[in-house]
Amino acid sequence: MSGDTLLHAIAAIIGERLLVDPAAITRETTAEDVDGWDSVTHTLVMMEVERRLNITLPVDKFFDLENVGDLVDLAASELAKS
Amino acid sequence: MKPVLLAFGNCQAFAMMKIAETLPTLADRYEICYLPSHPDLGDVVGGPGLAARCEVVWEQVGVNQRLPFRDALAPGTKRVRFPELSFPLLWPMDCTDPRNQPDPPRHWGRFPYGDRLALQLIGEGLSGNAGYEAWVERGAQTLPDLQRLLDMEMARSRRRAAEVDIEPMTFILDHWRTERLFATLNHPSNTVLWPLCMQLIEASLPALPLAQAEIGLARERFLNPVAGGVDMDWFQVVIHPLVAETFGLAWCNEETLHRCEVPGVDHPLTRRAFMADYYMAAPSP
Repeated sequence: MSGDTLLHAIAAIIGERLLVDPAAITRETTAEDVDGWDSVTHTLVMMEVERRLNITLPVDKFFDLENVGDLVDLAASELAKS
Repeated sequence: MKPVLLAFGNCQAFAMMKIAETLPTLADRYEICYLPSHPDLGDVVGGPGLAARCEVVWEQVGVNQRLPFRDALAPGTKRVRFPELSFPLLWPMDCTDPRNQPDPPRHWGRFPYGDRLALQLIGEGLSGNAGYEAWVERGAQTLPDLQRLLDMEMARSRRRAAEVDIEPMTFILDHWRTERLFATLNHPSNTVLWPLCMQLIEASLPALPLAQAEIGLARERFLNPVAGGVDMDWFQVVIHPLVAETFGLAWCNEETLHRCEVPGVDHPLTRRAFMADYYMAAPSP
């Protein structure tokens, strides 16, 4: 899966979860940029990313992600392992 | 003018303010104020010059916004950070319900909390008892790996503990299987909020001469919404039976009642009634 495809997939999840336009989600988007993206939402977004991409993300890195790009990169590295 | 004790944060911080107000020793010494972390949460409670007069700040973290005037606080201001309390473990299918039309801050709409599976079933044309039965049956296919979610929550809890001065999660994690500690994923019950406030007082004002009788009266009042306490349990979301079974929730079964104080509902509902008669009820003709 290419980086752009992965970004679109993750943006779609964020868009559904937070009722925002996925097109507005970029690699630079942070939780503070999106109304309602708190730590609970973050956990649920992570769950959905794992479910849809059929991967297991390292829990210890969940809360160190600084933006959507970090999440895309983390997911990409886990996809590469699987 | 009295010095200020400020609670900053979401509705949980508002509850901290309400508890503080009921303790005469605290209320005599301080003007007890509240600063919401989001405009939807209501208005600022407090007089002018709030920042300059703050002597004690109870600052909630994890609410998407930090205390706005923290740099303007006097050097001796006592700041105690406490976490935003939420518990998605019990509602892993929570989502925003697109049918809801909120009108905050006093009215949160008819569907303030959504359920992803129920909405999917509604989209398939199911409603009422048939909808409820399908919601129960298809939970196994839709629910995430609950053990995995528990691992994530433990990680989130550890992270929050590192960012705050007060840690109520130990109490929560010790009791959530045997007591109903949350009404919704972001509404802790009063039985959680009371000890949190006592922790805040102890951490910020250890020398405050609070008498046991005073604490007892305030506790009694706070835990009784009819007597003027805060009511965080006005809407209690149902828990999927598979979630209750997997986590061994001793307090949750088919007959457990759920307060559901939204337009059109005026009495507590069982799990089936909540889904069949309210959340997945057939639309009015």
